[in-house]
Amino acid sequence: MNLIKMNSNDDRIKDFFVYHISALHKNMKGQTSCYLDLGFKQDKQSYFTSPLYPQHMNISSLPIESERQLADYLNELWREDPKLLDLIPDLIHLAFILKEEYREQTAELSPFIYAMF
Amino acid sequence: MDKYILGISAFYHDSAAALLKNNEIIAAAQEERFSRKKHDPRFPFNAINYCLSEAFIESDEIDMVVFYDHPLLTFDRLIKNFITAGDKGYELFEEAMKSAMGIKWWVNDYVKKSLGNIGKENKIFYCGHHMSHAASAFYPSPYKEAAILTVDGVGEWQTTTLGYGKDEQIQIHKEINYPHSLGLLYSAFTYYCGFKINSGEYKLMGLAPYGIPKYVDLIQKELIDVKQDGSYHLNMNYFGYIDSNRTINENFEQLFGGAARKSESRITQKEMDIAASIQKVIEDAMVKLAKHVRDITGSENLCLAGGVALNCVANGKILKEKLFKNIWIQPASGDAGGSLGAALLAAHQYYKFKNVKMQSGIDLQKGSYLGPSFSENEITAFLKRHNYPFIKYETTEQRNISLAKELKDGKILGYFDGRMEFGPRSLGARSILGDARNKDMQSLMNLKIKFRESFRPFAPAVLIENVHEYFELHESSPYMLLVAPVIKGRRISQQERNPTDDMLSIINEERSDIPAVTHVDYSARVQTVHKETKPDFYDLIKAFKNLTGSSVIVNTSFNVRGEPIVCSPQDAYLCFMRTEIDILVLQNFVLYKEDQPPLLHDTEWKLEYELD
Repeated sequence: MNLIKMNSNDDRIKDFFVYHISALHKNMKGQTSCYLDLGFKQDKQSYFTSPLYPQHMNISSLPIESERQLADYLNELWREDPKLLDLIPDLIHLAFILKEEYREQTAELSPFIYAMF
Repeated sequence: MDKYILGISAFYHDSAAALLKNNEIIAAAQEERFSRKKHDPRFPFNAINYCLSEAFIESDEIDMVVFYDHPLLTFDRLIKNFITAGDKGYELFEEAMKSAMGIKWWVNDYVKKSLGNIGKENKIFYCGHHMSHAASAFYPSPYKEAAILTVDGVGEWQTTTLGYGKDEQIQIHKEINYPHSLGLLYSAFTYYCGFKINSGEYKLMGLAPYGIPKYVDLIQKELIDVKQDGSYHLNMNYFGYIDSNRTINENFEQLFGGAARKSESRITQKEMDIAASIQKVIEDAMVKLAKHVRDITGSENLCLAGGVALNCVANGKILKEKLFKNIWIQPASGDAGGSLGAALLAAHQYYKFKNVKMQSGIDLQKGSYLGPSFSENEITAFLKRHNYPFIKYETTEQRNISLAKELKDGKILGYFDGRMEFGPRSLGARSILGDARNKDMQSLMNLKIKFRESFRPFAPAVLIENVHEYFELHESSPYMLLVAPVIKGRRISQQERNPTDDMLSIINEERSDIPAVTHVDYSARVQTVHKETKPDFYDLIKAFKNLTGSSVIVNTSFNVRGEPIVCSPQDAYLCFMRTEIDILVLQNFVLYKEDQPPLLHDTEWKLEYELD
């Protein structure tokens, strides 16, 4: 996918969604493994889990100022999930475009989005 | 060599900054107080500037900057959420991407813009959202070791964590992850009952005692499965937040027999019963979680933080169960407090400062009076510049004697003295005060001062040494985060209530000899006042006691509905003039309403504030 040729950022986000997110969703349909652990489990004694990312709970730096650094970071984060590694090049490209447009506009996004994502 | 550590929370609800010098808290404040936009999520440029000025340092003297949350782990959740949601989630995805990649990833840039540098360590540091909550609860607490429970809407992935702190170390042992969340569950009901998410949760809690918890079984059967150890899952068939910008969906509405209540419409018995039911479910879950964290840590001390820890009724239930010898709750338990937690974590884990506790058993939060103060010269300059008439008392003692008489005579005071509070509660630095014995005070304050819903209760501020004479509470509660019943000897028994009774008639019933602070179920959200942390406020209540025999006054936040709590003398003066507050106290300067010139061209001020 070539995000540069597209007209607006909304189009870029939409294409990213269709090309990557929606496609992954369709591929995953019907599979037992899922990213979100949904539903009640009456046979379970507990829903507690061990910390998901214990290495990131404590103080650490996050070198993501360049595209290369960001790529390295995401590759490390998702190294056990090859499906997500394919997202990284387009994701990084999109990130640096959105950075320029939205970083001065923090008051204009909905409070719901702020709270949730 | 001293180390200055700046903690920042931003881009969610309630941005804030906190500054430490080594392991000592120097300053902390929420951005909303300066920007005058309630729950301001924007980068806290103003709060950071304030913190630097409080420490008398320049930005290039900051050693380390720590952000309270890990933006790429939140993004990991975002991506996985939308892969799960599929096409239905597109609209939400678009906004979430703009927010994450357009703003939240680039903390470095915002810090550089704010400070001109990124600290002497030459890089920004990050920590986990719930770790920052845990740190904000454990390090300032009076305990050398403690069980730690954090519960909120959602961090990166975590919504609930159970951990243990000892000396300088904090370990998270167990967690519950998104989308299962007690905070989001409570918010869903907040929305359904017609209140605003992220600010109306307090209203739902205040409404709960008017209702009958008749929906508890339904909620526990359909919406949430809570295990014996307090762990839980939500049934996502009833919630909308995975793929829409609604917390609930049509299944939820069907389950409770209709659409969500429209904001500002009449509150019915149904909303009261729903509020009572979800409050009971949350309390039960919190007590189970507290039991489990005690069992796995063996500690006699509990530290609590996260937005759900602001549910003081649930905190009161944990206290009542006597699961722990001691409980300490971070007063800035929401995201704002994450700035403090992140900085404290850096102090103790990166710079290895000792987690030294006070011999006296007093916590290290300094009463949470961590915000700006204004000198006598600054207040004089403000009053003289505007020609506002005032009386200046030479001593605080003289002032207090006069103010005690005014309170006794039914006057309402806007009280502004010393450093502003950090956290959502006013604790006697930026407070509206009244006589708790006055039966008309609650409705007067709600309707003519705060312009808010008449059912909302007010909190008592009581001298610590007299707390047991009024409330079934034998602990200190300096941050107004524990609810306790008024003692039986002070109660006035109520007539049998009919479910169809008008809510207003119930509100206006006199329930004790301190009716203004006695909620419908005889409970009160108690603030104990301590000479050590707030001498001016303590002495004022003492003067009131000397005059009246009562050690209790009403203490509510100095603001109107939708407005952030006042920060400066200017904010305080405006709020005073826009409401029916009788007297404004700016430290030893006292202003009477009848002496003041009318505010000109200020008729549209209510439009400035979005109703919460």
